[in-house]
Amino acid sequence: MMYNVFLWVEACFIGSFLSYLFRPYTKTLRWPWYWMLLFGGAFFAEFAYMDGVGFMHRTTTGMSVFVVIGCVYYFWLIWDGSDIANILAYAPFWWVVGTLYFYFGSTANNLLFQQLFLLHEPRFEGSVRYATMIMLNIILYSIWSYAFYCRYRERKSIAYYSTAH
Amino acid sequence: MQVSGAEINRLLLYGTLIFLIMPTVLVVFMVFYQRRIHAHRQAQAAQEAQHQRDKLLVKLEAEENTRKRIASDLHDNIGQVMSLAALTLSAVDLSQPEKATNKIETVYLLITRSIHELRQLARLISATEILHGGLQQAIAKELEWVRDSKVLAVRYDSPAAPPPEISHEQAILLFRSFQELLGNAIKHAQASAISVQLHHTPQQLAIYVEDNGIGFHPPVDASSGGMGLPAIRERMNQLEGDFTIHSTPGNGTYACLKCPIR
Repeated sequence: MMYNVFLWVEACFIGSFLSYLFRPYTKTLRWPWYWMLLFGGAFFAEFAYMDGVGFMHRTTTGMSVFVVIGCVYYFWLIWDGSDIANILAYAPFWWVVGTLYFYFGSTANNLLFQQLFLLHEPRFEGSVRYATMIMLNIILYSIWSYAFYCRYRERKSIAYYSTAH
Repeated sequence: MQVSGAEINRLLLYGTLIFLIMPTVLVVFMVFYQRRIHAHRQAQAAQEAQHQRDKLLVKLEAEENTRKRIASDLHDNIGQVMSLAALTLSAVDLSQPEKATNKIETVYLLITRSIHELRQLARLISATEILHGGLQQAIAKELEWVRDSKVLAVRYDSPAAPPPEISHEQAILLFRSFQELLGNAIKHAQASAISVQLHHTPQQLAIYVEDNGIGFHPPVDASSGGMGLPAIRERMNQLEGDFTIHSTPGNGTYACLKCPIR
């Protein structure tokens, strides 16, 4: 039950962050609402189907697929990258890359939810699913750390230029 | 369900590889493509900046040439004429009415000539105002002034239909080049007649200037030569147009300015 609550927090965070990144490139500002409608619909449908018992892994899988699509859509939006001077130091790009890795990996994890959950991995004192999630989290937070470092450097350089005059 | 450590390792390895390779390929492709696009954009921007710098240089050079011409006209023509007028006036002796009358008539002629020179200068400076009525009309007015001066016999052929619209900047560059050619015909060619023809097609606007003056050997190198020819060539390059000049000593000069219409 607790994980289902966390799922809402995760969906809100990822959805709002991606919508924020889409904003400069798309006309509509309603992405968060579309996202919550889609996610909420899937969640409550599964909730009703499961009688409110257990983790909503179908919704999680669906969410992962849509987040991956969202990340690829972001790549398409910045395709010509007219305002991106150096993509290797462009924080939003790396944030999306981290998200793409995590959700691409977790889609597979969720698809094989039952099997991986039953596979026991003694070194991780848990299932293979647990081990994979740890790896994906390491990848995610490493790339996000780099993204935030890029953002820090960008803000620092902006501050420098704004005080230089 | 119990599986061996080796099987789990293999499963993890394959799974990791498959699910790492796909996003990695996408990200690497994205990075390379975007960097290539950015490099291309930078090259384009540098080229554009260079083009803008060249345009500015041509503009500055044209302005400098105009200033030089104004300074030279003020010093050599108007200054000299006015000095002569002042000198003549100072020598007027009223006790000799006949001589005084002659001298005053000379001063009158000198002042009239100065006014004429000043008008010429004013026309040189105020091309923007002249061009308000369009290029066709501006050329006609410029030639009208030459005709009024009775220095040259002027013939102007222009089509009945007005030429296609060109930008104000293009018109100024073309008109300045035409003024330069006309000035050369008046000042250097010692011509007695000049013929100007304006011709246009939907793609191109052309001005032909021909005189029956003493002619000269046009410079082979486009950037060399006096009489404002390099400036004309620069202006026409800026317009992505064409400037040709044909002349031989004793056989007059034929010049053609061609400007594409976009």
